Amino acid sequence: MNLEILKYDDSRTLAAKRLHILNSAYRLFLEKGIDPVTMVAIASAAGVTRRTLYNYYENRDLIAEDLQILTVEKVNWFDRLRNRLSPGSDLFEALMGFARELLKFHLDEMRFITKFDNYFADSYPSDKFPRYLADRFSTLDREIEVPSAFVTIIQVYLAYLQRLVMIAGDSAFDYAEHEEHIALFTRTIVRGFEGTT
Amino acid sequence: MPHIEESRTRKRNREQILQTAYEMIAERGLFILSISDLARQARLTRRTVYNYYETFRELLADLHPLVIKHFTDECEHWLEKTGTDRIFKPESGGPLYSLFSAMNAVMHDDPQMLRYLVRLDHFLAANPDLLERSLHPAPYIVQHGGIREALRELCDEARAEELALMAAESFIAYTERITFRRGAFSQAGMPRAADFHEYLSIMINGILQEARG
Repeated sequence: MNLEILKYDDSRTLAAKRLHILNSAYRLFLEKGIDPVTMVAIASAAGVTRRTLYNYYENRDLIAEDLQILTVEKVNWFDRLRNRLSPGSDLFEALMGFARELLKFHLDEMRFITKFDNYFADSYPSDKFPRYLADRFSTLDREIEVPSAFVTIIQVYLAYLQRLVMIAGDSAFDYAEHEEHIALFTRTIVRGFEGTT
Repeated sequence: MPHIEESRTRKRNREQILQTAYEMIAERGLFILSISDLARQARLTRRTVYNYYETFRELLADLHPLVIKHFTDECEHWLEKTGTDRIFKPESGGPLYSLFSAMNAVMHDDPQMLRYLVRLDHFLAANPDLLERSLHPAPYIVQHGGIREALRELCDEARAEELALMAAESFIAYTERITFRRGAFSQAGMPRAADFHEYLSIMINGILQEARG
């Protein structure tokens, strides 16, 4: 993980330790969800004292928020989708490829993002994540112009994929098992979109 | 309230417990709810609460049908009030359109109910056995919304079931993502989601085409 996007003014040693803390917390969150994980548990998993941990983070929620930014950046929905949607590309194939990539190769990331989204459904721990999103979107806005119906289908599509991951819970998610259903949903959305616009 | 023969005090306590549970689930979700918290909030002793409900499963078995009943009544009321046609017309998407519009409108008008339903849905994903499956949001919509029956006019039963369930799941995904999180998203300056009806017409259009083959 590259911490640059988090904009800390860490020395190299501090950055290495921060990365280690974040990695340890990430594994705990993935395993247990956000709520049951305490600062004590994170300190112990990272093998640092509580005092050290508090030097880096005031509370657990801020750790989760940093991880959310890193994870969304890593999954990189925006570029991933844009790359697949070059002019003349088939929308169905593009979305299926997108879903396959996310659910086959980035399942843990999808799980983390889903856990975070659900837990912080009302409000985020601070304005750091919304500011990151705003930055990301303002760049995107300048680069591409899309009809609002398209934004809607992408939002619904992502929400639907996240929902599949959520319903599967922590049990193994076998993409092949879900592929037929995902294809049905993708086709429905694409036919609906093409029939409406 | 459930039809249980009991004294006036017991009835009042039970109502107090269920009302408090409803508010707390809407506010905080079920993940962090304990009987002790519930008792404190309801201003009853733990022992008293246990007297009525020993587990959350028992509590939800009473509470959830009440919420659903209230919700569906409100939807019916909305349909009447707006004069929305419930009669199935394949071209217009009939029940899909009216049912989802009603649900969307009712949830907009009653954010506490929206919160309750979304929170419950999140919890059920991790604990599916907590509620009888027919009371889970998507199967419930399929069972009572008339979508499956409407689609059956266009395709066979298995296909109608599959498409109806997908429509319900998609509606829930949309609601959670866009209605429920609107605050968080608009704060982020995300492109505002196009109107609900845009989503609905895309979805209905697609489903009708799929049903026709």
